[in-house]
Amino acid sequence: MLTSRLFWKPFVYFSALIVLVGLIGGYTTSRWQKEQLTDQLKQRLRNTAISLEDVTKKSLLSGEFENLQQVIQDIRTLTTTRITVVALDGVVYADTHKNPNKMENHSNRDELIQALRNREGDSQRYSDTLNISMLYYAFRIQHQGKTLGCVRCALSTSQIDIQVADIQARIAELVFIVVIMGLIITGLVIFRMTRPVVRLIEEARELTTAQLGQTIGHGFDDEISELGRLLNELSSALADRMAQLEQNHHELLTVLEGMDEGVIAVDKNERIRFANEAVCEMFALDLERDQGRPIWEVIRNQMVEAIINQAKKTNAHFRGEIELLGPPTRYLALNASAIPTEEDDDFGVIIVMHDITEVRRLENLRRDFVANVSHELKTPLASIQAYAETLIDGAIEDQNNNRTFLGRIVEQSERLNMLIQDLLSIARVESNTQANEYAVINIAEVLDSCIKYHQPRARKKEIALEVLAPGEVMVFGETEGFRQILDNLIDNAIKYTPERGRVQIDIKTQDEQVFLRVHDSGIGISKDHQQRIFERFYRVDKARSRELGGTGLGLSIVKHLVNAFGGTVDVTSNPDEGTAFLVTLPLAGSGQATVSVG
Amino acid sequence: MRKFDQELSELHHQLIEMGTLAESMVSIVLKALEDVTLDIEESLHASEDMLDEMQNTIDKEVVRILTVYSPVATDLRYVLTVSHVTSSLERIGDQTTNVVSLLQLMMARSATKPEPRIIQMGQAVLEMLHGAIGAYINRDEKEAEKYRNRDEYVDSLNDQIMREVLSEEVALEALKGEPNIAGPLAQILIARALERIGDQACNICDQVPTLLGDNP
Repeated sequence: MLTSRLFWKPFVYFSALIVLVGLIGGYTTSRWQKEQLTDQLKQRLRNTAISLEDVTKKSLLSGEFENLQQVIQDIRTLTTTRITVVALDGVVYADTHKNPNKMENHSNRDELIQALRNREGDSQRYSDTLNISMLYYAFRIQHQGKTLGCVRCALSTSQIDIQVADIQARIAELVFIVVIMGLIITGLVIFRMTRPVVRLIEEARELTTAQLGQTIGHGFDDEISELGRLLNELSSALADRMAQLEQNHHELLTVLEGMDEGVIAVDKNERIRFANEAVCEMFALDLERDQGRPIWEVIRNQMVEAIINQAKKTNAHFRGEIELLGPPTRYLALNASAIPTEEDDDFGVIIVMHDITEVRRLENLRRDFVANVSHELKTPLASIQAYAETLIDGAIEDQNNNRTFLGRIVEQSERLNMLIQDLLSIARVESNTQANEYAVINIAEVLDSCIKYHQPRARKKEIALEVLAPGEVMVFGETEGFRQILDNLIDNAIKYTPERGRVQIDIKTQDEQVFLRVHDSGIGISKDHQQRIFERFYRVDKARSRELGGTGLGLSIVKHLVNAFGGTVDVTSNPDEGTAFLVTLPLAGSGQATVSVG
Repeated sequence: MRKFDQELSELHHQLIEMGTLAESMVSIVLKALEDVTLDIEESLHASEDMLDEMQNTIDKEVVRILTVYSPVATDLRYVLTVSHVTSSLERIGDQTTNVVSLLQLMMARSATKPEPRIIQMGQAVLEMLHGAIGAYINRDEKEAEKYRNRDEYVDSLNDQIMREVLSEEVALEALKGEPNIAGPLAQILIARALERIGDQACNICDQVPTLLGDNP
């Protein structure tokens, strides 16, 4: 309050006004009082002078002043009035206080000059004769229209001065009290008037710094309270708006943070303003450290800079692709667009980064697949063509070789057929056309028949085919599918196990799961290849595989079938030690045949 | 921002741009080493020219800033290291073109492909360069030290390649006359070029302590 301009400004003005009025009032009152006293004194002198008119006239006419002197001496003792009788020429004839003969000529005295002219005159001045300040009154004495002289009465003004001083002191006292009271009252009134405003200002100031939405300006019932009410409304509206904004911001942030796509925003100076989790992960950013740094300093990539510049220049969307150095190498598709800022000619840029590594991989896979299929189909076909052409060119007559050639043709056709069969079964498994034909089957039985089928080949290579399986293991699926799984796995095991090796097949059930393990003591698969052997046409050693009659699709079919039956397949292998394929399938309990098949 | 700070920031930007370009050149070369069918010579030479031009511009700018503003303390150290870094980057650019020429020679004269170890080396060198530039920009002494130490690994790979390629057979073939040692020779030279890129990355790392004012 003490620092409030609102209070001090009117208070100072009003105080000045009150003091001024007090001073003027005091001054005029004391002036008036003094005049009143002087007038009263003058009246007294006049009365005295008029009462002396007759005596004076007589003396002046007769030139006898003894009597007059006596009379005025008497009056003096009663009233302390000084009385002087002056002739027309200024010669003093009688005086109460001094010997008239020793007095100087009085013709130059103001009151006398006035009196001679106007019948009466007065003046207040310092008396040279008596050495005190006096009030004089002179009265012209006339006789039959002829001026004889003047009678002058005078009184010391010291008494008046004392009285006036006394009155002035009282007035000053009064004025002082009135002014002080005025000041106090003014202060109180202004304080009462400004207090609500000041309080409102203070509360409004708190609003800007503290929480919005608190209510202010209670306890007044005038325009101030109306203002307070309006401010309250404003504040609560703002608080609502702020809360909404905050929530929007929060939602947006959550969405951005949760996105798989990287989002990064830079301002017009290319300084990073925001980057979401994905971007931080992609470029190893630390948002706390890197926020506000130029993007060209943090993400050093020509493409990123180029598309930012383009987006800034043209205010349009720009796309680009970058490769992130691995390992593993990642491909990102960038999409930059300008964010308009207040100054219309300069833009910030927001970049959305999409990881397209997987897309790229799939693209490559498809391309490879087509190339592989063509290649795989072409090889037997070329052989068939070559043998057929040889036969046409005359080899058909060659009794020694024609049968061999025809045999090769049949062999290659079978190979072609096998390849197409495999491709078809992959296509079939992939499109899941058989899902409705699934039933609970005993895989131990299927295994039995598979073993019987493969036994002769194993015996030929002197491979010990060991089976360790319970009599009944029920799973949900399709017999032919399981036969294919087992066929492929056992076939591979026998193929890639050198002579006098060992192939072990065991089935275990545990925790509602069936574990089927095909373990061989073969050549093994190195770590690099293990991840990829389930891909179509992927071969660890192309030459050897083809030599052994593989199509490159076996494990791919296994994987697809196992997945279709709701299971998984894994491989563990060490080169030169052997390979183990582990198929895990859900166990189908008695009567429980609810395996989800996607 | 003061005009001096602004110009320093601009210089910094140019330097980073140059570093990025050099980095991308090394990564292109690495790709070509992995897939020898790629034709990168032309684009690489264009990049090399650009790199030279950038070095010129930056060096002129450095001289200008030194004479016009006479910077002191941190700023002076920074401006002085910039020249070192640009010359390192420029040499890296030269080495990349060397690698590509050697690669072409290898493809033309013999059927050999770059050794897997060379590719390993290339990856290590690229990582080193990236890390070195990062450490320089972030003025991170620890990072600089870390990437500087990678040089030992690169050197050891270089030695291994040298030993393996220069086997007895190759030496014997060379001694017998009529040798076809273009392939092995190119391998060695490529490895050496990569090793030199690694050395330049080390040089950049070495600028970091200077930048921070700790005299090594």
